[in-house]
Amino acid sequence: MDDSAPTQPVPAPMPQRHQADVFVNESDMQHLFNAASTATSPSRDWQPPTVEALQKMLPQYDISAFVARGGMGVVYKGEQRALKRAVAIKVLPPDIDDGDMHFAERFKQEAQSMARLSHPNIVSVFEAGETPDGLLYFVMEFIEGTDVQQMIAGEGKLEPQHALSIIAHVCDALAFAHEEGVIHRDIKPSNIMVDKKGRVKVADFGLAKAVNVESTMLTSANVAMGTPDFIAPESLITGARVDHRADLYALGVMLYVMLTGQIPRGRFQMPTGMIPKLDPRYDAIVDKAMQTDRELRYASAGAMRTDIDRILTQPVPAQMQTIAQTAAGGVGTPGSSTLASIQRRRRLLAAGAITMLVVIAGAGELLYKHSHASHGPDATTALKSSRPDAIKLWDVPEKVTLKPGVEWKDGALVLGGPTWGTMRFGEPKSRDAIIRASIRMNLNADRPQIGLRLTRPGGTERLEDQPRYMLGIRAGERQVALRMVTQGDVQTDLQTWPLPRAYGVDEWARLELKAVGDELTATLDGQVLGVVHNSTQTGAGEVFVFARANGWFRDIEYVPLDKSLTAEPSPGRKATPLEPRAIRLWDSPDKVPKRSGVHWENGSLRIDRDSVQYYGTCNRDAILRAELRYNPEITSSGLSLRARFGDATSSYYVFSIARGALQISVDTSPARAPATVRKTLKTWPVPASIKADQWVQMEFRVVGRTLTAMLDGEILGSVEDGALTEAGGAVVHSNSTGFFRNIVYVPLDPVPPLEPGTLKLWTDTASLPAQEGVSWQKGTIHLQTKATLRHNGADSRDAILRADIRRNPDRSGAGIYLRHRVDAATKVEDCYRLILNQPAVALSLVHAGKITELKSWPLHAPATNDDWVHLELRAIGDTFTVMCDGQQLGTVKDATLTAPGAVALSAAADGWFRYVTYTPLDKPAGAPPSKP
Amino acid sequence: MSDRSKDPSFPTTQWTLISRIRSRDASVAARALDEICAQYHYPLYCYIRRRGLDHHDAQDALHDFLAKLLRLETFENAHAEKGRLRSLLAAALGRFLINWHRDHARRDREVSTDSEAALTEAETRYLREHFTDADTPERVFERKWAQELMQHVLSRLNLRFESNGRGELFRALRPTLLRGGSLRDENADAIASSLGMKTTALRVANSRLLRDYRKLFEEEVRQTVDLDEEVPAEIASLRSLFGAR
Repeated sequence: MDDSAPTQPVPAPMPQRHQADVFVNESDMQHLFNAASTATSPSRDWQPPTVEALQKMLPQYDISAFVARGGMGVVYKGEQRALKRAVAIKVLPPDIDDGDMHFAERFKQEAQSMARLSHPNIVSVFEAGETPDGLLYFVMEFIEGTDVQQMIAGEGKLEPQHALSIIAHVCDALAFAHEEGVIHRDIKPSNIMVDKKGRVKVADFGLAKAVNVESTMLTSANVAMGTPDFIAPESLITGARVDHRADLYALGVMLYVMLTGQIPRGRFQMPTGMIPKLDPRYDAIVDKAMQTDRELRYASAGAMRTDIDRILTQPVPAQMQTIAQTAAGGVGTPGSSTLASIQRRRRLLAAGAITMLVVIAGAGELLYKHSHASHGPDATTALKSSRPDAIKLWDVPEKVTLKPGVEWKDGALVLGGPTWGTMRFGEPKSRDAIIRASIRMNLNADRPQIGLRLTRPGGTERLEDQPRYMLGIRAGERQVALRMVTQGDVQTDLQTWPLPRAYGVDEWARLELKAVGDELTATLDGQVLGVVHNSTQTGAGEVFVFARANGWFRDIEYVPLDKSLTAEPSPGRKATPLEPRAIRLWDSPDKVPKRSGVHWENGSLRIDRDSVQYYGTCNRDAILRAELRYNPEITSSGLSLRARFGDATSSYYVFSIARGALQISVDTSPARAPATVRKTLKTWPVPASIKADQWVQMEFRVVGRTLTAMLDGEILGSVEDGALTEAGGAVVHSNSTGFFRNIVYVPLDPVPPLEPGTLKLWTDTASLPAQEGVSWQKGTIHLQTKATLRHNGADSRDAILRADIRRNPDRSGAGIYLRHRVDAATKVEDCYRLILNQPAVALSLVHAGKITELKSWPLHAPATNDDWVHLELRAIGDTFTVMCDGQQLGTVKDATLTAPGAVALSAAADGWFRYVTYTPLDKPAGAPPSKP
Repeated sequence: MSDRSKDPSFPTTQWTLISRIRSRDASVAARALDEICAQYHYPLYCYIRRRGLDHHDAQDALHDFLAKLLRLETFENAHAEKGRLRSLLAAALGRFLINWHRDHARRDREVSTDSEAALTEAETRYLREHFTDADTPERVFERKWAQELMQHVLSRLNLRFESNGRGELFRALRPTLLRGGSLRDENADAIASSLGMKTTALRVANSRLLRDYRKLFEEEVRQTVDLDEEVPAEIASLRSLFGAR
């Protein structure tokens, strides 16, 4: 139910399971496997244009030679006629767009940003475009020289000083590009050119973004070709936003490769372990650049360059060596540990080591002015709450539950410990909220943070699995950072700000994070640091404070801002009494399905990219009504009726609200189709009187062919449609985050007049006997293989038995029995049975262990899954009449079984039944049965 | 909605079939099993037939097995196991058949409730197969598994082309694909002109088709293994089933 769903009906073909036109024979298989593997280099069929052909396409250049063919295209040498300058022309293979329609556009955009990058260490891009044949190309500075890949291949490994100076230049290029907002995304030795004068130039800036290297790398074909060694771990997480630190990771790998000639994989040794007498500070650089957690990497290319410069300009200082070796795995075994163990040690060392590094790193780098050291925790008086609606959290020891990582000291909440400490608060949960706290500035404080919108998908208690926003102080970097955590513990910096002033040791800073809609505002000591827009976490959540170590917090306040908490109905809505047959759905937490996408929150049902379905009474005509918290950003939320889904196809009538519009549509997904086909039947704008976060009542009525949409009790309009005519379920869905409450379903199907004395059998789950193989499924009776469900009430010779049976080509053999008798001793069954036996309806006599087919009739339409067939069998004396979907198929005479018997349902394989009625026609007991 | 992964209106996380059958949500697991049953019905049938059951028994045994699967009994202890869906299913079916044999060995054939005049689709297909003595039940199962998977990939590919209005192109390039995908040995000019395209455009179209095909194929295989890393090994192992014989 995306906006991009076609509004025109697309006649999508319905493939059968073994579609005749693509039937695969065993003899085809080998070829198909060949096609699958050779296709891993899809450009193999592509013949790059000859020099002459390219010349014709690009007359403004004199093209002289074909230079090289690489992974991302073919390079030619040429000269720009007008300026007489040498150029390299790179032509991309035609299939590089990966079927992406917007690729050419994006490529041109990227080329523009490449062209903007004018830096001595970046290969200049002069022009980009598309040849008349539709090949994308760009023209760049011609570098006469080699690339680092070739240098490594030629020399095995590089001199450490040489390697480092190359990296230093690449750092300069990256620092410049990152400043311009361009991330390279594909830093590797073959992209680093070195010209004849030894100048280092980084090529293919941003190209990786245009061709989406990460997603390409992720295909298993690439995995098979070799691990994507230069790709930062976070790039492999789908959906993670890659930032400039991915380039720094790649740079770390590249330094390692240049130093050692080997690619760091698995448990790799640090460079000092492989190169005797190597300055241990190399290890520290590689280690820091290659941290799995990008928070632990260099914050910028400039920072990395600074460390490199120290090696290039300063001899090894004794103290430094000690620390570097400590960090790199202990003095005794320099360079022998793995990164993982370094990280472990590093975490233990964390606060202390950082302090020492900062101190040792030299003058002018001190974060704290010691003159403020007198600011103890008790030196300031408690802040007065700035808002009357603020909830004070953990302000007295009684409110603090002591647990590992949580302490109460000197009037403050102290968080952190061997791992971390956190406190969370979530009653009421609010989407829009303010969290603020005073935090004690101290070098030992490791990541003190405040945060909000913390959610627990599926009720998880693991902090790693709880999405949230958080604002924290990074002492080491002198920064305030606003971060987002998404599921799977993917942490992304949304924004960082430098501390606006120097803080004294133990000085208290007042930090505040406010979230309203997608707007996050960070404030420090009453001064707004910045506003960030992000709409990843849009649901209500808990607020929290957190620290890894030594986080001192006090005067913690929480201000829930959600209007929804007051639950005001939209103005003008009339309270209407419920219809007599109305069923309330999902109106308490225990009725909400336990799934990650569905929650009970502040008295409403919250649906995150999911749906809940009701099949209690499958109806054709029905009303579905719910209040929805209006959010103009919502991509699609709404109500569906006549919802049907089967093994392969699904269909619904939908009344939805999406980005400011209301609409009725019919959504179908044909078998195995890649997407839902949406046909919009009618749309209305959302009335201007409805504001964000207001609760609006949506009502959807589907009666016969008429679909009616109502908003806040007023009819928006109706539309006629005949696409879906079968009974179905009710669904509430949201494509983003939707809040629903007061959900009511009213079945409206007319009750057909039945003969007097007719019994409705097995109408709900309670009326089903507890019998193995018999169950109630979504409004239907389900019989498992070879189960028989027998009505043991009134035996009758003459009777009418009616039932809906689900057609299913794979599971034929469901049927209804009349005059069913079971011999108590021999268990031999006698009956007349009418079986839906695809593609026919067959009436048979079961007698003395033998089955005799009396007659069969072909079904009126080809079998498709999940259609219901209404079968009726009437037995009067020796005359049996068979009806199917209201039409009489025929009459058969047989006089074998004349004794009264029961009625039953049975299924050879799985069978689904509904609307079973039984009309015994025998005269009251005592009257003689009529002669056959 | 049984197929929510393909339905953007009710999106879910992209799970593999394996993780879905292990889902704690019974309805998710049941739907995944439903999908498996639909797609891999025939390989399972072949396996049972190859184990020597006649087609009545094979049908009964398979029905019972699938019913058991759908009651989620078989995979309860599969939580701890890692591996490929193919092996999981084969192992489960193998275990199941041992018990099934024991329970049904001495029973007289019950009168089937169906009129057995017509053979099932699976049996009809089975009778057309040419298996040799070397084809063990396991091998037959795996080959048919690969074939069903491939069948499904091609159906999806076909559908993708059809729904983009490029059905004609797909029909024209399908024979090429079935011969290994390369246009080198094909009369590319003739195919191109039949479609009113330039030959270069046809080559581009073919390489795109191959790429789409490869992606779908990997996606399908990915559905049947636990981890991304296992995809290449699984493809190699499926491929080895169709070596020169």
